[in-house]
Amino acid sequence: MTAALSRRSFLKAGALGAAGLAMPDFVARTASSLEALAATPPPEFTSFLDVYRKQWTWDKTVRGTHMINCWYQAHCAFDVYVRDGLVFREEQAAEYQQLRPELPDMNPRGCQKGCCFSHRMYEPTRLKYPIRRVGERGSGQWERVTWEEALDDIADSFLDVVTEEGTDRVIWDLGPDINIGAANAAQARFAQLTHSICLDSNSSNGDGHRGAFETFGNIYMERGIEDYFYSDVILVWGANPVYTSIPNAHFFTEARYNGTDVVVISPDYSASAIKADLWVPVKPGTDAALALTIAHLIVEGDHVDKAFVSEQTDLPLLVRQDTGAFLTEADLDGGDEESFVMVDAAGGFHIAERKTLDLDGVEPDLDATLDVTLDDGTQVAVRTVYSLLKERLATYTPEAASEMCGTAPGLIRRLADMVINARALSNVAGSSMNKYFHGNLTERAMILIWVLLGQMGKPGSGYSAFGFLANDGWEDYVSGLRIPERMAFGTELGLDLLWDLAKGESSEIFFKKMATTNFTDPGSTLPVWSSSALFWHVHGGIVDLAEDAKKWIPGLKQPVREAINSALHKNWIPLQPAPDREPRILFHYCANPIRSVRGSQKLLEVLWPKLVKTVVIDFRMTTTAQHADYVLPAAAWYETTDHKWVTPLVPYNHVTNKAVEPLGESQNDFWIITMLAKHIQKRAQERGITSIDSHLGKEIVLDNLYEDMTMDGAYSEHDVDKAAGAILEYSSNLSHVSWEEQKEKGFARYSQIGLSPLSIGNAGELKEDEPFIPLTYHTKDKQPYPTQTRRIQFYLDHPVYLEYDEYLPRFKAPPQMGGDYPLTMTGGHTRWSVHGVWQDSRHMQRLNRGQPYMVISAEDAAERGISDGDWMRCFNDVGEFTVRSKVSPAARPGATIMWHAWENYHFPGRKGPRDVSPSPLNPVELAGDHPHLKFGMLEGQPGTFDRDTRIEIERLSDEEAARL
Amino acid sequence: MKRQPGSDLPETRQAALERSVIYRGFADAFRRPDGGCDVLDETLIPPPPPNARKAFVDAFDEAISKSACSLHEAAHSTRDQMDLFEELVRWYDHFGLRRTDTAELPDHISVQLEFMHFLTHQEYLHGDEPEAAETLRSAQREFLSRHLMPLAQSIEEKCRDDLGRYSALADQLPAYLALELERRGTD
Ligand code: SF4
Repeated sequence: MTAALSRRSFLKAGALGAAGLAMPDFVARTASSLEALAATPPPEFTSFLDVYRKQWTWDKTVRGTHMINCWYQAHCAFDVYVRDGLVFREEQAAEYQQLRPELPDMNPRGCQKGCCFSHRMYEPTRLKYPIRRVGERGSGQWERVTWEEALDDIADSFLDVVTEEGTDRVIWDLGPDINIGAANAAQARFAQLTHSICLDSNSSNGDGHRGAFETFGNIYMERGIEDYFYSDVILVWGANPVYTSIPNAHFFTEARYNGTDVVVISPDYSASAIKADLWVPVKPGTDAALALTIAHLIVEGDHVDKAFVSEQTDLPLLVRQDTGAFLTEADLDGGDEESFVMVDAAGGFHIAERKTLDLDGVEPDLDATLDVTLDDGTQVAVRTVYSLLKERLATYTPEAASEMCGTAPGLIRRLADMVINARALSNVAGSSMNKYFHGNLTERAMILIWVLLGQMGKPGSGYSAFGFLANDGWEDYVSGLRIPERMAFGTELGLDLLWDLAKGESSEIFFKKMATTNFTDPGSTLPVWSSSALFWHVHGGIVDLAEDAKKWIPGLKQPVREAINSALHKNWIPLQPAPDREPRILFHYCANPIRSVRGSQKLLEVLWPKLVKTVVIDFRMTTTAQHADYVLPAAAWYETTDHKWVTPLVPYNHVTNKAVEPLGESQNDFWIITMLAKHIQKRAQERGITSIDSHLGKEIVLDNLYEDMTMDGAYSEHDVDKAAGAILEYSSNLSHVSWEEQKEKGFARYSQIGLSPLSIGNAGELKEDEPFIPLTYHTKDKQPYPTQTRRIQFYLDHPVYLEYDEYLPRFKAPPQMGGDYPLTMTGGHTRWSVHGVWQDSRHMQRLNRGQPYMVISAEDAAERGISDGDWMRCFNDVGEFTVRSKVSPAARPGATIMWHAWENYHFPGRKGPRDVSPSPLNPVELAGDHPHLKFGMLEGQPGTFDRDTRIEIERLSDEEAARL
Repeated sequence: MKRQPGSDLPETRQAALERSVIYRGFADAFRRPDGGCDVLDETLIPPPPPNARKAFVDAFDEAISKSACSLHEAAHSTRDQMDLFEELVRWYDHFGLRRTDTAELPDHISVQLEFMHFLTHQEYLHGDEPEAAETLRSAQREFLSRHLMPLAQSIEEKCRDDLGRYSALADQLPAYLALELERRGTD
């Protein structure tokens, strides 16, 4: 400041010409206008304390929740307190019903992230206006633009791409936070009308529960949370609910007051293990050995529930020893190829019914081993699946297993005793196992325990896998058609579906099959889906990282690239766009692949140069946003009205109400996507573009897109509330409570599981006053499972499973992903964030170390001269990153933990754990041309894996650390 | 010293009017890349550069640019963000104001400057009423000391100095506020 400055130095000549009040940020509260207010004398004021004298009041409170995928803990109703257009705080709305007097209730629900979301949404990281890249991608050079500019430019690129190269060049990268509500319906309707491709992120998230899928033909099975109170043994296996199910965790601790034993099986002495009755430590990725040993002890001790397995599973079915395939009716007498055979103790053959599990008095011989004469006269040896399984299990003695999984034989026996003697055995599901390369085998082995014991479909018992419960009106809204009309629109697959109905297939099988049409059927009236894992591998170059996979994975029969190409060539797996059709536009919606995809630097190297546009819709600057061309600011969850899916654990549809206007120029997702359609229509009309054929041959009308999108104006960009209500009105499982009532209360209990392909697999009756128990339509009502054999299926006679000796569950040693290094890099969801959203929240940062760290054992630290808080280089053959250490006695020697979801920019050099995780696809998961091993919604796709990653760590010198 | 319109007003009212306009100018300038040009003297605050929409982001939007300096008081203060919001909303409320639905957050420097624009405009209108004028001056003094000045000083300290107009804004605002406080101290 210079001494010569005076007030008038700041004023431009003539500036006083416009000397009136100009206050865009304020209105007068106590007068008719700002001018009138200014004209009234000011209130008394002697010090700032005067502003605190008036009692604080709220303008309103509304019910809200957080439209994030907090998954097994989702969701919680909050009262959201508003003053002056700002959300100041939220408070748990503790109004959930108590189902029964003897059961704990849910009140109050919430986690510490949700409880500070009002704070989070106003932190400096919040995006407030659209921005456009002006430098190189990722260079951090941005300019502010108007919505008009952004949407026109994106619309022009969209039109260029779809007219010149095809609609499948436009990809919607959908992250885990899609809500199956109005926002996501707008996106899906847009994709459906334009035949752009939607990526199913469940596969690349590693949440696919492949083992459950292989066994049940279905991953959707989860109980009501109160049901744990009826369990007497709960196995927390592959989960850490004290971190990741904060609102639900009290049910496990309360169950202990009821006499329940809680057992945690995990490599680390986790936060959940601390609260357990028994902790069973196990080497990472070796849980299958433990599970198979328990299964062995069940069989050896004659504890198998023979009636249950005879009726519900493939264990009594006969398998040909010459081919390894199931013996079929066609083999015996030229009958049905899809009908499988069992034999009774008297040698009588019986066809396993496909329409019911009811054995109608047949008592199959589970141990049968015999020769049969086939229709063509040849004799072949056949054995039951059970006899094969018994033989396989025999090798898993506690002593042998201990060598594999590191758990002491005595402890294995103790655990097996608890499990075998449990009246009601349950598990707490998570998705850790899916993130191991052989996680499918592990999950199949775990399921075996519950099934052998008949611990399914009863209060407090049963295996839980993937939790999901959604409305079933969403598809109707997206397609603009009700279910019968959608079926009538089918092409060949549609006819196939009608044929299934005529054959009397169960509604579960029918609706699941309908969902698979989204991946392949040009006539589908829903969006075209593609597996994200496959997409990133093929189009994103992730497969390049698997060049050395044969070195890492014992027994890998062919390079991963070849396995993928071969599966694509044989049409075992669908991929859109096809491998030779390069993607051009990526919309990242609720997605952050540069942070989340294992090996994501490859995407920048291989995929990004092919892209004409990459657009991120978000309310914060994610790692992916930093590499985008446009970032469109989205409304936060208290700034829009909508509803979101949950899980059967908490079977209440949850609603968020628009408490305040979106901050700055941000807009809700529904508005953004509908406006994109509007701009495409406008630019199409201006450019004289009318319609084109999609890559699947459907006519895509571009100059009327907005009218189609809004159903001729019925749901304009301003109608997110109305659209959300319509979806519920179309729903069979949520229309019993009016939308207005649901908004008022913030939640409503589902009336039934419903028909959505994302829920129907739960297959049970949802009652008003009972905790939900999944799969009872099978266990009680004897409805068939959606598998090849229509039974719970442990034997897979697919050639790839035979080739890899995975036709039955078994243990395979974890591969050494990334090279032969001594430490395993495990991980898990953190306590302090849901995905990346709260990672740099100030409140959450104060509750942890506020920056990424790797948990290492005291032994590993000492061996390497590493102290707590030291900077370390973590490396393997694939890459390296730098992170601080957290030395903890809770970590298992040889295993490290990187908690989930730090952004790349939180690490020095912007490299993190993703950069050492090559995550090759597992060839068995590419199997196709099979009755149930095929792509479905969120299931049946190949997974990606990071938990087998092997690394070495070394301490950075003080000089190196100082240079970071 | 430049001659300004309205100079037939008594000195204190004339001064209040000018100060009110300057606050408005600064509020606009911190709100939009090209704001405040009709008010602020170009020798102190250069006109927007051709790449103003980029430079403004580089300078002031910490959600986007790592080297940007936040314009929000919460980012410069150890106080809890919501406590700070509450106090600011109370200030605005006390003087009869309510935030519009589309406003910046209450701790944004533009909002605080706009509040000062209002208080000084009111002082201009009530300059002949000693009690009212004193109330307004005391409120301004306290608001400047508790909020706007520390924020402006912190922005000056943290803002990059290679951003032309925007570096100048960050430099000149505390200079102006210092004059204001100096004057308020002697009022
Ligand atoms: S983030 Fe999820 S678990 Fe946490 S309070 Fe919100 S809805 Fe509940």
